[in-house]
Amino acid sequence: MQTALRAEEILLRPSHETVMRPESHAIDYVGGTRALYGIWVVNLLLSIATLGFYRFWAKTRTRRFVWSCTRVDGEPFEYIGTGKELLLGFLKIVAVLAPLSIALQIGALLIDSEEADRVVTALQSLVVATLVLAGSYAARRYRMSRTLWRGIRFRQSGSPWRYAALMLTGVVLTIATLGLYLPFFQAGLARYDMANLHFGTAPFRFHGSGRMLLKPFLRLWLMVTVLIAAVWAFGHGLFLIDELYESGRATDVVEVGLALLVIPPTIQVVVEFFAYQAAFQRFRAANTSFEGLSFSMLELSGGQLFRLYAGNLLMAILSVGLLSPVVIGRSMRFWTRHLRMVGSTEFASIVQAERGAGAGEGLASFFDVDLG
Amino acid sequence: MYDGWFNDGRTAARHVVIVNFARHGLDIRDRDDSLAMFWPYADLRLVDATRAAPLRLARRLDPAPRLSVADPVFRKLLFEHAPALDLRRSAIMRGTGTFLGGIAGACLFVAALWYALPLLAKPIAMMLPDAFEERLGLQVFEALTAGAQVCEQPEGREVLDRLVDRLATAARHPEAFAVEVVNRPIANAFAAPGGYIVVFAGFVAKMESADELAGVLAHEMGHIVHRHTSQALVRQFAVAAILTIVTGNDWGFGRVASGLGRIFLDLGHSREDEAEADATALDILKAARIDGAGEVRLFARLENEQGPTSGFDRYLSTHPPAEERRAAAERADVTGGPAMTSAEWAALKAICDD
Repeated sequence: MQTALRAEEILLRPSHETVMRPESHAIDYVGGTRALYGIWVVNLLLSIATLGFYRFWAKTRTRRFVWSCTRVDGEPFEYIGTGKELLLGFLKIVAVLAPLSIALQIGALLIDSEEADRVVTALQSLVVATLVLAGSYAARRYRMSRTLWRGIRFRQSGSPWRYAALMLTGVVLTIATLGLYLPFFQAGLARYDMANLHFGTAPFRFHGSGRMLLKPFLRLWLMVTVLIAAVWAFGHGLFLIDELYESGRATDVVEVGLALLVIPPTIQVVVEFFAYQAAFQRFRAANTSFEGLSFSMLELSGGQLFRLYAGNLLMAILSVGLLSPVVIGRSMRFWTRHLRMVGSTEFASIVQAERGAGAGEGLASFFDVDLG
Repeated sequence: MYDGWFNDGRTAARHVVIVNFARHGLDIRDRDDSLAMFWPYADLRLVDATRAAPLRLARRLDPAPRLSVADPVFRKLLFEHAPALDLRRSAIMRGTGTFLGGIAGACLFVAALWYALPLLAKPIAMMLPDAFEERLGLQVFEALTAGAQVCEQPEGREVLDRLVDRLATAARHPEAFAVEVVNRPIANAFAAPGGYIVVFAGFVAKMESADELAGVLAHEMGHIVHRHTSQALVRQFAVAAILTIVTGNDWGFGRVASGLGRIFLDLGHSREDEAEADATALDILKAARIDGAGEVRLFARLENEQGPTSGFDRYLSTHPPAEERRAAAERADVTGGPAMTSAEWAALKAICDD
């Protein structure tokens, strides 16, 4: 139905359609669960037959399907990555990690002291954390470079190592400020992601700052503080009960009372957590723009997010992975339903970027990998 | 005549076009004929991965431009004009090929791990520095003897030392063996790298003659001579690494398969190690001129205790089936004298008395 409408609209417009009316653009996901199950079953059978080696091609097939089912203004995205690229990226990572971890293991065995053991473990954790964080950014960069819309490539500039450093310092600062730095941390990450994203030669822009998130975050932070206080009181109360028990007073009622002390704050924390997450998503969408287009997620609420994540988690756990196509479809429909794009832009002026253009592509493309 | 969209792959502009089926390809032109293209059927490539509209086409020779047509009738007619584009049948063939090839590859892979891995692990284990073996063995030894009393009754200790010397000379191993009897009612004995052997009091109590104990000690010495513990470590490390690469770490089935695979491989290699230690034990007994009948009796008693080994148990056990071990000891037919006098044996049996 949607494509028929579009065709009629096209007939009424000039044939070189380069400027769009300022209007709301449709973002939708048309993937059927049955079709995705077809892909999923084949993936499963071939993965079992190859002892899991097929996973690179399985991921590629799933992505190609999901990308083609996601459309903006009726035009689908396209995924042009291949299983071979994923395999090569994986082997590159192994080639670097294997000698490193062997060296660390041998080192740990040869150096026979407790401090050395702790140092080695800490070093290992740091190296792994850095690689995982850098790898996640490299993975996103790979996926963007293999995503097309109207034949034009997306591109994510920026360095995975910079991103990992940003993440690590953010975690340290958040802990040091007892959590108060978190909204600034998240805003900083969102900015690094969005400001480095390009469609063709044109960049996305991010206007948001952590301050905008502060109010919804403080409500969450306050509730967490209340919860911690309640838990502390609960623990103290249990301790007092032990003393009361010896003098033979009725303790069951007091125990129940103490439990009631902890439950309402816990529920409030969950509510505030999802409210904050929804606020973050709205913040990120509202502060992202591309040329003349702006985004929003105005109707996203904490309750909707909770239903999405809780439902997905329940399905994932209960079905041991058998319902994962359902989870994918559900999530895609959710996000495309809530994301809105408004505005107009001169698409003819957006040009395909040259391959390999951009700063730091040389060495960084060594880690053109995707583990996600 | 079908309505479509055309992207030239150089800009993000979308051109509205009209597509017609010509004899050898698609005729694409826009409303005022400023764009006119011809895409031969042989050059076409389907871009979409789904049957949902619109159908999207690209050219092999020039991969950037895209043609989209929404009408589902167009797809049907396109497959009639260009049957090569209908990938369904070839996809089934390729999928089946991958499936069968995958199974074949998986079997080869498992066979390689089973047979080739020990061949590689052996020389690597032999090349490990002695200091490494010593440190590893000491850790194991201290773990086994922690919190328990080492039996040190002087007469029994002396008899034991004499037996160990006799066997060690026969084994011709450059490093010394350190054998301790630990006062725990456990019916087992362990060998650790670096020459440490721990025999538990419960095991000594189960021995019916000194020849049997000599056989057990020789078996443990066999483990040390061949560096089985280090071999096992190298093997386990290599198997874990290789299986993680092949099966991947991020998928439930992969992790389960990898875990099970490691267990089965490990048990299989362990059985081979035990058989090798048995063979070396018989060699040592022969060189020390101790009667091998003790070993045979020991395995016969084990056989009676365990009963016949079912096919399933066979693959889940760290040791070869007792009947096979007994048969191997019988075949070796090691003859010799007693390991010690009965007085010495009595003293050894009392090693844990205070």
